[in-house]
Amino acid sequence: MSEDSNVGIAERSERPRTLRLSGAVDVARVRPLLDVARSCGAGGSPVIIECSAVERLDAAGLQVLLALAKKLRSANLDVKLRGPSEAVLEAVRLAGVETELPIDEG
Amino acid sequence: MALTEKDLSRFEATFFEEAEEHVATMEQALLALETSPDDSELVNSVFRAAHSIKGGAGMFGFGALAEFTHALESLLDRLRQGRDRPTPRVADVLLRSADTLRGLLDAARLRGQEPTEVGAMRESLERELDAVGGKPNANGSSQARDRHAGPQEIRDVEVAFEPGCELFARGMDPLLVVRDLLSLGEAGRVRSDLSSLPDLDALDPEVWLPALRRRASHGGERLCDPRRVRLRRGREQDRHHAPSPRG
Repeated sequence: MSEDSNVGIAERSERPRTLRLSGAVDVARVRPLLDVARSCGAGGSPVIIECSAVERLDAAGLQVLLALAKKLRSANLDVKLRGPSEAVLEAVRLAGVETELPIDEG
Repeated sequence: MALTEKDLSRFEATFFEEAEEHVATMEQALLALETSPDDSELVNSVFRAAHSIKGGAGMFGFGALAEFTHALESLLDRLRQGRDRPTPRVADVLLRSADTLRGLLDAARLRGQEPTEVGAMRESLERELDAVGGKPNANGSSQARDRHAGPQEIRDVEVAFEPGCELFARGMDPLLVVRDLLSLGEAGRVRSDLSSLPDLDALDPEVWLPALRRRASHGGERLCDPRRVRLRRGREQDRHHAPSPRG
């Protein structure tokens, strides 16, 4: 597991890969998020974004998640949100990207 | 353009500096209201100060501060319509609210605990708002809603919002603009045009690229840079059929 403890972003290497987010996922912390997202995107497996502990998600953070979803979808791989917090649900609703970032019901 | 922690800190510091000035303006105007309760410009100046603080608080994610100023703004908005002059009791609530606002600003700046009286003060504001016959709406402005209240005036409007790439560098979040837009109408729908979103490997995460569109029933009100917003009437069939999530 690689982890950046400063930004609450962690990636677990298994199938599907899990990207764990917590705290503020915003423009101030978007660089490490992008690094982890690129790592997930290169894994060749579906990705679950565990985001129940996200307290804030702004457009910068959302943009990275959307770019990750776009990359994986082009390879016929899914990206799903697991246990999205209110902050995540609100950001997804405001951006109208429920289709691109669906919730994992499993 | 890369946005650094230092940039954000500078934006925040500017917000707090300006917010302190706004609170001082509010206090001066509220004190003046005690001797000049019919001076509508005093109420206007307090409203503008509260509105500015609310906007900045929302932008920087200070939720408690934004919510409190929302309640304060709702009452002030009602007063500034001139239907009710501020009674001594209302003036007292507003003055004490300014104190609470200072405490909330300190809490936000220091990432500390919010003042204990916040809940009680907010209830007082809402009680006074009820007493003058108003209810806070989603954007804190009953006037905007009243202006378009006639059913014959409601129409479908599509707003195309194309935030500039430099948005993040200016410390702004387009989602907050969308939230404000949604608060103006009912049953608004948002869809993002992601066609310009670059590949993950080429993405500069500090530059905003997708454009946002929303559709809502509303008379139309401009909230942001007019060069980046387009309004047009919805098509007749759109009034009865929800648009697809992707355009």
